[in-house]
Amino acid sequence: MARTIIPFGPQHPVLPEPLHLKLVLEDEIVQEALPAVGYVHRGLEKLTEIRDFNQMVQIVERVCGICSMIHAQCYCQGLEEMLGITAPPRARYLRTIWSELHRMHSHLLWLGLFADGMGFESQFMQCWKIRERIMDVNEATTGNRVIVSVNVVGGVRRDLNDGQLRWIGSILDQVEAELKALKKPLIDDYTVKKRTVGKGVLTAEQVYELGAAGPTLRASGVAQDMRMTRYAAFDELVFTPVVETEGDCHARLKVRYRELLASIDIVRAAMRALPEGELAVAVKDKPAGEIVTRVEQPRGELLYYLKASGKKNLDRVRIRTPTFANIPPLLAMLPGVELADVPVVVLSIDPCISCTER
Amino acid sequence: MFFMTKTVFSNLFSRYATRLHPFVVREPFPDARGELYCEIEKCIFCMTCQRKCPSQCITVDNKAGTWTCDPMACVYCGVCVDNCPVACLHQKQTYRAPTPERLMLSLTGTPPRAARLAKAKTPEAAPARAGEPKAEVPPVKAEEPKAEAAPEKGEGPNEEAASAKAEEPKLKAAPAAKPAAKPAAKAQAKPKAQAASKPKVKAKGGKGKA
Amino acid sequence: MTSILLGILALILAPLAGGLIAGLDRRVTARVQSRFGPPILQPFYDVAKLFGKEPRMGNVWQIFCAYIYLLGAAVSVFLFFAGADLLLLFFVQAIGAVFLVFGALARPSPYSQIGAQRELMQILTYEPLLILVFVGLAKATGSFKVAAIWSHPEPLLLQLPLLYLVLTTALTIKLRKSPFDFSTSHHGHQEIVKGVLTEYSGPYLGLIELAHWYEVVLVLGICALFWSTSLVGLLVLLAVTYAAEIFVDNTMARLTWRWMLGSALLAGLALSFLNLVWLYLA
Repeated sequence: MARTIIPFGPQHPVLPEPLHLKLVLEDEIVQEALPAVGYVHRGLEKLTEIRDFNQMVQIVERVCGICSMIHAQCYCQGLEEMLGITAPPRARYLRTIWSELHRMHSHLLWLGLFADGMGFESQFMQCWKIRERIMDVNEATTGNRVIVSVNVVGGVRRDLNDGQLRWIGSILDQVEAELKALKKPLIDDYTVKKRTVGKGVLTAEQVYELGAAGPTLRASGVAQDMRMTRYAAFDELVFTPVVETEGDCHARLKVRYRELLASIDIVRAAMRALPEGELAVAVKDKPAGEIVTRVEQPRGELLYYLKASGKKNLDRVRIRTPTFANIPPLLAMLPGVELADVPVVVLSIDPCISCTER
Repeated sequence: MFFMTKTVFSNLFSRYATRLHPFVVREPFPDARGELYCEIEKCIFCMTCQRKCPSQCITVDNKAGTWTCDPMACVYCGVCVDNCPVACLHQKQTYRAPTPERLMLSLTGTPPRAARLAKAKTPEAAPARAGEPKAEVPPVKAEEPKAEAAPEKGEGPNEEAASAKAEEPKLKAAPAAKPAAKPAAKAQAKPKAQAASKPKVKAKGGKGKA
Repeated sequence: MTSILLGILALILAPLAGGLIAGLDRRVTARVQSRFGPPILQPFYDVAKLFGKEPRMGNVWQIFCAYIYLLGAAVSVFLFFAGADLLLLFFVQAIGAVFLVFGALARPSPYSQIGAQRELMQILTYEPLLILVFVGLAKATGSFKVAAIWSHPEPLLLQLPLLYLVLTTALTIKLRKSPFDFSTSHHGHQEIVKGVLTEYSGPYLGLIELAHWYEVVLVLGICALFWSTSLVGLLVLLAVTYAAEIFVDNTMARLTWRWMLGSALLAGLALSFLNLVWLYLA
């Protein structure tokens, strides 16, 4: 077949997010991929001019529909550092619990979409069935399913009581059992391996050079995880990053699968060590100064740059999301890939375009 | 290749995991943040909710005594509920049912200025007037004394928002900051000496049960 | 005369059976995926709705191709139930299939074009397998006539088990189920959206769906030839075959046409030859 240019997105049924690529194909083999960014730009950063720094917590939550908790956590941590206050220990542990629950539901969502991207519809339902349990935990403990809105500058707004902690523990046991049952049909399956092994390979040097983040980076053997910077409760919890070395789509699948199990352990450890005490400290001053703060989102390193000058509105909020960092590696992966494998390779970086384009 | 076999058969012979939604509805979780509503009798029209709302879905007119919420713009974050100095805002546990047309939640009450004017005119009628809304809201029993005090406190920052240098309103109400919740917390008779939001959570839980 | 009447009866009943099978399929697939699933009659509702829509097409060729595809599928069903020659039926069916590809190629849309290329690959895979199955049937019964094969005294499955396996592979391709749903898929979450069907809409898409039902009935009819001696045996065979299709669909991801040409076709050819050699020796 002659040289064809296929518009892949922004509206494409296989894509969960409006990623826009132009694929140059020759005989169903991708020669080149040209990205276009900006389709879902909403101007959330600009909103800081008309919303005060407390209201911005709810705004930044809406940057991403999947990891809202982690965006708010990153923003609040940055402002707390700027204001010279520290969130109480209980708040830091609760943030860790909720953010790891978010990581779990994000990864389960991704596992389902990834399976769907290669035409494995029954596995999609299976993953989303498990995810629903975590969504229930989110709704029961925070009040909302996805955009949980539990962070404030200075701490958290909701608490977990003993009954809820026990209940979460039992749900986690159930989720863990179901995840372990998922390993063989999802990770070790012949057709899944056929579709993922050796697809979109990047070496450790390449991903590092291209500035990849998160599971894309770790699947190529680079042990870099922002949780190693010991934010929130990670200064007291044991944490080791999940690393695979093959650098292909299957390795990225394995990294996310293992991170799910790791997150269960982190939540359990955080619930065991949950200190008593206050939920939030009062914020008296207006923020002033400049700060860069980083946390680990399900998709990788999330960076917030905040600038303030003692007014109730911040001067600048700059958000750099992991998908933005992962687009250059994606473009490096695509040439030479069959068209049929494009959804698999594209989804393997877990693109979150709403994050990227804010 | 057939690792999925077990799952396929267990799914086939067990109940489906989905819910036939409009016909089968799950019990809401007790702390779920649903539709916003306002006990307008208790409202002091201090406009804290309007200022705090991140999506600016609430409009309060303290002259006309209207409290309006655009439910389509509400993001169910519950910030207004946490910051209301008289705890007159609440969230149901369920969402609003979908409607074909845009509905505004519009309530009319007595703004404190009008109440005070009425009080000034007929001083003996005032206590009865103030007592009325209290009698109408039996669920919040512990707040009897505070509900009476609150309008007076709220009045300070309300009418003189610009010259809020008087220490009394700053100490007690100061609607822009979290301490605003403290008067409400005290009324709960649970002096847990914690951050403002903690007793707040308790208060909500208690009401949920009742 | 009776054979022609039978053929006309089949022409009327086949779409009903095909739609019902599709409805049952959707329901069982849903349950396997722990969903509730649509009503059994949903495919009929869908097609009725398609026929109720405004006809809009890019060009006349597409409309012509849709009709020829339906005609090919319907005539081959007629020929089958009228007890005609399997080889004639094979070529009529192939004409229909090729016109589906022509219809897709008549539009410049890259999704449609790539879908057409892939559909050609699929035709290239299942047609040789189908002809080998027919050869096996003729070898076992001594005739290419459907009527003669139908009245064979013992179940052919016992003589042609490997060829039956090959036929089910062709059925999977025809049903557009995983791992062979490349050119178009029952749900559009695919890199080329709906492939060959991307550029069809409204009543013409309804025609294609109707033709698809005819084709499913035809391939299931050929499956039925393998146990024509008793009605119970026939129904059990068809039910087991279709259940196996659903099972395979739900335990596998979609593979690629390169894999199909490399592995599935080769395996199919090898199995067919093995069975044919066995027939000669026996």
